[in-house]
Amino acid sequence: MDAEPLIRWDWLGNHLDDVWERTTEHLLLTVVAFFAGLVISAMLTSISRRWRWTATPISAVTTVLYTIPSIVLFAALIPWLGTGLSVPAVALTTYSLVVLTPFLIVAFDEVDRATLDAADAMGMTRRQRLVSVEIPLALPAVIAGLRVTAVTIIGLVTVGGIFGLGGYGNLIQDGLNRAFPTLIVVGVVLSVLMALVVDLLLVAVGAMVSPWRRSR
Amino acid sequence: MSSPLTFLTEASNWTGPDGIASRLGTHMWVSLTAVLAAAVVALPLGVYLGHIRRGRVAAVAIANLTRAIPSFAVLAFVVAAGGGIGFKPTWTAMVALAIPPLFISALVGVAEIDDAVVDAARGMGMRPRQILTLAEIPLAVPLLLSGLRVASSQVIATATLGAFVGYNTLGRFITVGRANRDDAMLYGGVIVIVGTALIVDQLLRLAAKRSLQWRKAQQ
Amino acid sequence: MSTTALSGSANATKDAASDASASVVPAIEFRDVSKVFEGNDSPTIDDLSLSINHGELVTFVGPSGCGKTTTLRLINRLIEPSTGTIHIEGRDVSEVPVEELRRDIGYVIQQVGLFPHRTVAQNIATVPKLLGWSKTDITARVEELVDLVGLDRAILGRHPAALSGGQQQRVGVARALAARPSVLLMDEPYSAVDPVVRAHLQDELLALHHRVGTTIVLVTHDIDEAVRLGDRVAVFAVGGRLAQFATPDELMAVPADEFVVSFLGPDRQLRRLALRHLGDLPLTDPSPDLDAAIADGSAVVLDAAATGRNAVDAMLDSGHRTVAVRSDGTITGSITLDELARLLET
Repeated sequence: MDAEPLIRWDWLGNHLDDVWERTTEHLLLTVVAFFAGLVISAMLTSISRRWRWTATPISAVTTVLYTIPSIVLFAALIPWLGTGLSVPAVALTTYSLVVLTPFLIVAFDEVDRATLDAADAMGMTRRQRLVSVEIPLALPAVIAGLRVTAVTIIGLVTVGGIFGLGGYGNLIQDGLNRAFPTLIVVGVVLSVLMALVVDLLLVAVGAMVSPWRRSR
Repeated sequence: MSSPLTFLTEASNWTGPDGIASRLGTHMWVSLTAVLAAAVVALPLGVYLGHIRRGRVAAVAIANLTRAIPSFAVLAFVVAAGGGIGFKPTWTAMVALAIPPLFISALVGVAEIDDAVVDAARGMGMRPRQILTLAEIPLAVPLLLSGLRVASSQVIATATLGAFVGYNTLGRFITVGRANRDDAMLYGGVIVIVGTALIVDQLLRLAAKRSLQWRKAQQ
Repeated sequence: MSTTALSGSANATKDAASDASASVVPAIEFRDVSKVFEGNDSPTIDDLSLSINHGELVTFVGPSGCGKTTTLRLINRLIEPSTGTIHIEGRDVSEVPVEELRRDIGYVIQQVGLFPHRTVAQNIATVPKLLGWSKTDITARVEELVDLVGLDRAILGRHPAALSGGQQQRVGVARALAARPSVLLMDEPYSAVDPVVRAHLQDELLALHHRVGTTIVLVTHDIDEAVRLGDRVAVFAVGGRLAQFATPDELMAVPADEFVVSFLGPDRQLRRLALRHLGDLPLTDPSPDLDAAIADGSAVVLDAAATGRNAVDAMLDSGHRTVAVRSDGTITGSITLDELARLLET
C-alpha cells in the first residue's frame, strides 16, 4: 500500500454506476431491516406492556442477541440460508428489533400517568386512548429510538460486505482484497454519509410530527 | 457429519497455536490491552471535562457520529491508511472504537453528579483533588461501568473481525471454517465467541448494578 | 342519565338542593361499599354507606391513606369495589358500559392531565367530540366554557405548556364540564396551586356551582378547604371509615368522635362563626339608641358581608359589645356578643 494514494478520483469518476448500485443495495437492505424490525418491535412492545411478566424475558433475549457480534451472526446464518439477500435480511432485522424494542418500551412507559388517567376518566376506549393520546405523546421518544436504529443498521449492512452480502461493505472488502484503498475510503465515507443523511431526515420528521415540543 | 459440540470437546482442538485456548487467550489479551489503552486516553479527559461541566453537547454529537461508523469500517480504514495487516490495524481499530464510549460515559458520569453533593463536599473542607477522588469518581462509577460494557463488546467484536485481516484470534475459526466448509469448526467458533461476549457482558452488567447499589448505600 | 343545563334554568342553589333531597332519588349513593387492595391486610374502604343529593357540593376530607380518593374513583369506576354497590341516579354504575358512564362524569385531578399535544380548545372539546357533537355545537360550547371559567378566549389556540398553573386548572374544569355531565368529581384540584391562586379558584368554584348546579364531589386533605366549599363534609378516618358526614356547622358543633375533634383542630366555635355572614343573621332592628351609639363610637359598624368571627374580633378589639350591620350604605340592624354566642347553641 505504499505507492497507492488514499483515493483515486479518476477511478471514482469511471465507476459511478457501480457505486450507485451499491448505494441502492445498501438502502434496500436498510429499509427492509428497518421496517421489518419496526413491525416486530411494535408487536413485542405491546405484548410486554399488556402482559407485564413478558417484559423480563423479552429484555433478556434482546440483551443476549445484542451482544452477538454482527460478523458472527452473519457467518452463522450463511451455511443455513446461502449468500443471497436472506442472510442480511434476517440478521439485520434481528438487530433492528433488538435495538429498537427497548426504546419503544421506554417511550410508552414515560408518557405521563396523569394524562392517561384523564383520558380514561373521560371515557375513551383503550384504542381511542392509544391513538389520540399515547402514540402522539410517545412519538418524540420513538423517533429518537428510530434514529439510533437506522444509523446502527446502516453501519451493520457494511459488515455484511465481508461476505459479499451487498452494499458499501462490498466495496470495502473488495478494497481489502485488492489492496486498493480508494474502494475502502469510498465505501466508508459513503456509508457514514448515508447514516448522517438518514439521521437528519428523521430529525426533520420528528420536528414536523411534534411541533408542541422543542426537539430533544 | 460432525457437530460443533464434537469440535469443542475434541482435546486436540484446544492445543497448539491454532487451538481454541491459544486463540481465546490472544483474543482476550488483545481486548484487555486495547481497553486499557483507550481508558488511559479517554478517562482522564472525560473526567476532567465532566468536572468542569464542559463539552456535553460535543459528547452527544460524537456519540451519534460513532454509531454510524461500524468496526469493520474503522478496521478497513486503518488498513487502507497503511496500517498493514494482522495485529497492528486490529489493535489500533479496537482502541479507536473503545475511546468514544469510555470518554462519553466518564464525561456524563461526572457531569451528572448533583451539584449539591459537590457543594457538600466542598463545605466539608475537601480540597478540589479530594472532591474529585473521594466524591465525584466514586459516584460516577456505575455509568463508567456501563461505558466499559459498551467498549468491551465493541472491542471483542473487532478482535473477531481482526481474523479477516490476518490476525490469529477466535475469528479464525470462522474464516477457516468457511474456507474448508467445516461447519463444525465454524459453529464451534461461533459458540466460543458468543459465549465469551456474553460472559464478559453479564459480568460487567452485574458489576454496574452492584456499584449502583453501593452508591445508593453511600449517599 | 339526566344532564344539567348550563344557562337559563340554573336555579339549583344550595337551599333548593337540600329541599329537593327529601323525596328524590339521590344523585350518588354508596351502599355497603368496601374495597380491599391486593396485598393489603386491612381494607382501604370499610363498609361505606353514603348518599349525595342533586346539586350538592360534597367534600371528602381526611388524612393520607384514609381512602377518600379511592372512594371518589369508585364513582367513575376507575376502581371497582370489592363488595357493595354504587348508584348514580338510582342506577348501579357497574351495569352501565364504563365509557358511557365516564362520558357523563366530569373528572378533575391535581395535575390536571391536559393533553400537551392539543390546544386548549381541543382539550375542552374532547368529550363532546367523543359523543359526536356537531362542529358548530362544539365551538359554541367551548367558547361558553372558557367564559364561564373566567379565561380569555385568546387562550383557546394555545397549548397547555404555555399556561400558568392556575390557568391549567381552570381549563381542566372547563374540559370536565364540556359535555354537561350530571356529576363532577374533583381530586385535590387545588393542592398544587399557590395559596393566593387557590383562594381565587375556590371562590370561582363556588360561583360556578351556584350558576350551574351540578352535583360535585371534591376530595381534599385540607379541612379548611373542605369546610369552606362543602354543603356537607364527609370526614374519613384512616382505614376507610366514614367518621362523620354533616354540614360544616354541625360538624364543628357536634363532632362525632375523638378523631373528628382532633382532625378539625382548634377554635371550632370561632370557625363556626366564620361560616355565617352578618347579613344572614337575625338582627335587632335599627333604633335611635343604635344611631346614638354609632354616633358617639360605642358601637362598631361592619358590612353585611363580614362574618360572625369578624364581628367577635371587632368587638374584642374595640371593647364594645354591639356590632351594627351596614348593607349598601344603610344600617340594617345590630347584634350583640351574647346573641352571637347564643347562636352557637342552636
